[in-house]
Amino acid sequence: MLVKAGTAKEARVEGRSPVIEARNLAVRYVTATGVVTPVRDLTLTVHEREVVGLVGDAGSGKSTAALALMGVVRPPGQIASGSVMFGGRDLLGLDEDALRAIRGNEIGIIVQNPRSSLNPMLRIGRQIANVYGAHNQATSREGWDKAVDMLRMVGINDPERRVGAYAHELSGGMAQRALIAMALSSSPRLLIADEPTSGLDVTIQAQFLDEMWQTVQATGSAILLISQDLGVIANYCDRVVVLHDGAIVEDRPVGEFFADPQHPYSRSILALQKAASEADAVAKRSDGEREKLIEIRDLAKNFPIRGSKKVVQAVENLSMTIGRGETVGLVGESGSGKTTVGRCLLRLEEPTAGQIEYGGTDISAIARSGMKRFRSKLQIVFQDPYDSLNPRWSVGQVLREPLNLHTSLSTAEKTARIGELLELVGLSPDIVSAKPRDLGASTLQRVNIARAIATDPEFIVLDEPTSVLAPAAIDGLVTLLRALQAELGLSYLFISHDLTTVKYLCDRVAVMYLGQVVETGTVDQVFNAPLHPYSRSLLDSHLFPDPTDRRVDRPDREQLEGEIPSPVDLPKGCYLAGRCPHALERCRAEPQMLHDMGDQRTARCWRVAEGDLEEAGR
Amino acid sequence: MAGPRAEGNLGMTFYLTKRALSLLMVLLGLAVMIFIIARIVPGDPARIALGPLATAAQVEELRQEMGLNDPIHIQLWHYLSGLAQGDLGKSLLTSRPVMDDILQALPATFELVLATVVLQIVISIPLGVLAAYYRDTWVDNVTRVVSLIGVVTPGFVLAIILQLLASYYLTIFPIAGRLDPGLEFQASTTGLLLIDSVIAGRLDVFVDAARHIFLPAIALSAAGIGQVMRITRSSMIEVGSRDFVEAARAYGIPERVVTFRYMLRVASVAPLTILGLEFASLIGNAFVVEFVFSWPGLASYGVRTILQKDLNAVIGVVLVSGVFFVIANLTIDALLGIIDPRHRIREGQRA
Repeated sequence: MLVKAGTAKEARVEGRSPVIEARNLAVRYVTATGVVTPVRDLTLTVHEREVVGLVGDAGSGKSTAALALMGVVRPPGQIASGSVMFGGRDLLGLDEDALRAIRGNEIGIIVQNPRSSLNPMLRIGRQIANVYGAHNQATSREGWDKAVDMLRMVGINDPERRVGAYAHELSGGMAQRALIAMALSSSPRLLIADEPTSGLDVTIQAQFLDEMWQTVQATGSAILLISQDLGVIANYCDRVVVLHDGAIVEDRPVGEFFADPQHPYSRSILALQKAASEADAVAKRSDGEREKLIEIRDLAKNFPIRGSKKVVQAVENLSMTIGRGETVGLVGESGSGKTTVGRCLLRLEEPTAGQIEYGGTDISAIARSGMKRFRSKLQIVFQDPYDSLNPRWSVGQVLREPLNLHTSLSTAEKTARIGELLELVGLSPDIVSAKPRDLGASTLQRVNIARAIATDPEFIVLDEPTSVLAPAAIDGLVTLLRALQAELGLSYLFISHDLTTVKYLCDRVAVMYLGQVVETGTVDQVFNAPLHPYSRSLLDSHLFPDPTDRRVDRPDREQLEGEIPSPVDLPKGCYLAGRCPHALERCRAEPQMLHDMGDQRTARCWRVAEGDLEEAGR
Repeated sequence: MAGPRAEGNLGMTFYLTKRALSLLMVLLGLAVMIFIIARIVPGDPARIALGPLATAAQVEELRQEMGLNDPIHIQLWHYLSGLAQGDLGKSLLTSRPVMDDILQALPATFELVLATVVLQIVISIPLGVLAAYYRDTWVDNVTRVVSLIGVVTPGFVLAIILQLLASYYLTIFPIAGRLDPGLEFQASTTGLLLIDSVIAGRLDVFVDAARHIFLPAIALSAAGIGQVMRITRSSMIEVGSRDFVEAARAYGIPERVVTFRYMLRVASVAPLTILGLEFASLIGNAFVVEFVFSWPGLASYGVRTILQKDLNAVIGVVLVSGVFFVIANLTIDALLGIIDPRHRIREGQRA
C-alpha cells in the first residue's frame, strides 16, 4: 500500500532541487494600537519529494507564515521584508495577477478549520470548480465534472450527490476532504498543509497522511506540513522546522530533532514524549490488591431521537471497576460513547440502565437530592477549559463556590483554602482576581482542576482535559495530575483519544467502539499486544512521536475499511464486522460477548477468544 | 447532481409555504387586533358619522344598519368574513366601499414605495461595498458622513428642503404631483405609471413620471440608504475577515469573484433583513412625504379617515399596510432562502 522509503533519511535531500526557498520573511500588522510582527524571520527550504514539518505553539505565527509564503496576508497586515523563491522567481516581487496564477495552481494549500474555510452559501462542487476554473480554461460544466472527480479521488462516497452539498451538510472529515480536493485540483508542486488532520479521528488521519505521503513520493512534489501534533511530525516528516515567537529557532532532520533537540523551546515540547518513554521503564503498580472504589455494572445510555421511535445507543452494557488510587483510561474515536460514560458516572446524565456502585452505595438509583453528599467526592474536569468557567467570575469566585456548597468553613478559612488549592495546581495565588479571559488555556485548565479538588474528592472524571492544549502544556498538566494523585490518593477516569498521554498517565485502559467496550487490560498489555481487531487498528493508526518507528517505514498493516456505522442503526452481529478484515459469517450473525482472556484482560471477539487471530505484537 | 438540486428546490417550496402560512396568521392577528382596538376607542362611530345635529333615533338607526348593536363576537364574525371576500365595509366619509377608495389611491403609494426600495438597493449596497473596500480612506469617510446625515434627517424635512432647492429655486424638478396634467395618460395595466408608460410605448410619460417621482423617492429613501449602507459596510468587513475568504484568495480565485460571489453574497444577509424591516416603515413615512409633494396616494385618504374616526376606512388602511409588510417579508425571506441555504433550514425548522 505504501511506497517505501528505502534510502537513508539524511541522504534524501542530497541532489534534489529546492521547490521553495523563503529567506528572512517577515509579516507585520500596523494597527492603531501599534505594530505587531507575528512572523519576524522565517527562513526555510522545501526540496522535491520532501515533507517538512513546521511546528510551534498556537499563536507562534505558523498559519500566518504559511499564507505569507503565497503572498497572502490578512488585512491590514503586510509583508515587511524577505523573499520567497519559487520556480526561479521571487513570489513577493510578482504583481497580483501573476501571483494569483501560482496560488492554488502550483502551490496548493489546505487551510486550517475546514468548515469555516468553505463558503457557507456555495455548493462545494461550485467552490472546487471555481478554484479549477481560476487556473484552467474550463466551462462551468467541466468544472463541476472535475469537482466530482476530485471528490471521488479524495475518497468521498457517492461524489455525484455530495458535490451538491453545502458546507453545513458535511461532517468535519468530509469538509476536510473537500478542502484537500480543492488544494489538489491543479496538481500543485508544493502543498502547504496547515493542521490538515485536526479534528479527524486517528484511523482517518492515518489514511489521509499515508495518501499525501505517497503522492509526494510518486509525483516528486513537496509538502510543508504544519502541525502541533508531534506524532504526525515524527511519522511523516523528513525535516522539522521550529517556529517560536515568529522566528525559526531550529531546522533539522526529524531523527536528530527528536533525539537531541537544541533549542530550549524544542526541548519543552518534547518533554512529554521523553517522560512517556521513561514511564515505560517504571513498573506499573500491580492491580491485584487494589481496593475497589467504583464498580459499574451493565451501564447503558440511550438518547431518544425527537420525532422518531429510534434511539441513539451511546453506551451499551458497560461494566468496569476503578480501584482506589488508580487511573483508568477510556479510549476510542469520537462518537464511541466515552464522554457519556463519564457523565453517567456523575449522574450528569441519567443512565438508562445499570448500576454504579461507589464505596458500596449504588448511586445510579438514589434520588437526585441524595446525590449532593456524593457530589463533593466525585468531580469532573471538562475538555474546554474556557467554556467550563463562568466568564464573569474571577478565579477566586470560581474556587469559592464549591467551598460554599460543600463545606462549612469560615470566610477566612475559605480564602486560605483557595490559596492552598492554587498552590497545589502550581499556580500563583496572585491570580485569584483574574477573569478567565485574562488567562491562557493551560492556566485555565489548572483552575478547573483546582475547582475539582477543592472539596477533597476521591474520584475525578477527566474528559479530554488536554485536547486543546499545546504539547508543552500537555506535559505540564499530565505531570500535575500524577503529582496530585500521589499526594491526595485520587482515582481518575481519563477519557482521551490521545494515546500518547494515556500511555503515560493510565494504569489500565478500556477501548470503546460504538458504545461497547471491546477490550480491557493494563496499558502495557493493550498498547504492546492489542487483542481486538479494533484496538489493533486504533493503535496502529495512532501516531506515536517516535521517528525511529515511523508508520511510513513499517510493513503494511491490517486496516479497517469503510466508515463507522450509525449508532442509530447498529449491525445485528459484531459492530465491527462490516469493517474488520477478519470478519466471518458468524461475526455478522451473532452479537459479541466480552470474553475473559485471563490475566485480567477482556476482549469482545470470539475469534480472539478461540485463539484464531495470532497476536499482533508490536 | 440532479439529486441535491431537486431536494433543494423541494426544501425551498416547503420553506416558502411555511413562511406564507405563518404570515397569514400574522395578518389574521392584525385584523382581530385592529377590530378590538376600534371597538375600545371611545366615541360612537354612528354619532360621528352623522354629526352633532342628528337625532338619537337617526343615530340608533345607523347603529342598527352598521351592526353596532350585535354582540361583539357576531360583529367580529361579520367583519372577518367580509374581509375574506375583500369587503372592508363602507367609508363613512365618502360613502363608497373602502376597498374602492383604497384601490384608487394604492397604486400611487405602491409605486413610490417601490421606487424608494429600488433606490435604496442600487445606492446603498454598492456604496457599502465601496466603503468596505476602501476602508478608512476618504471614500469611506465621505460615505459615512452622507449615511449619517441620511439617518438623522427626518424624511419630511428632507422632502421640504429638496422641494425648495430642486423645484422652487433651481426648477429642475416638478414641484408636486405624480404626472403633468397636460399629459393624457391612463395607467390601466398595473396602475404604476413607470411600468404602464413603457408598456404603452409612451416615453414622454415615462420621463415625466420619473421626474415627478424622483424627489419624493429620494426623500423617503434617505434614512434607509444610510442604514443599509452602514450595515453593508460592516457586514462586508466582517465577512472579509472570515476564513473562507482568505482561503479563496489562497486558492487563487480572482479578486472580482472573491468580492462578489464569496463576500457580497454572504454579507448581503444583514442588509436584506434590514431592508425588509425598512420596507414596513416606509408606508408610514410615505404619508408625510406624500403630503409635502401632494402625491395622490394613500396619505391624504389615510389622514382624513383617521381624523374623522372613519373606522372602516382606518381599518382598511392599516390592513393594507399590514399586507404590504407581509408581502415585503415574504419577498425578503424568499431572497434570503435563495442566497443562504442555511436560512431555509433554520426557518423551516422553527416554523
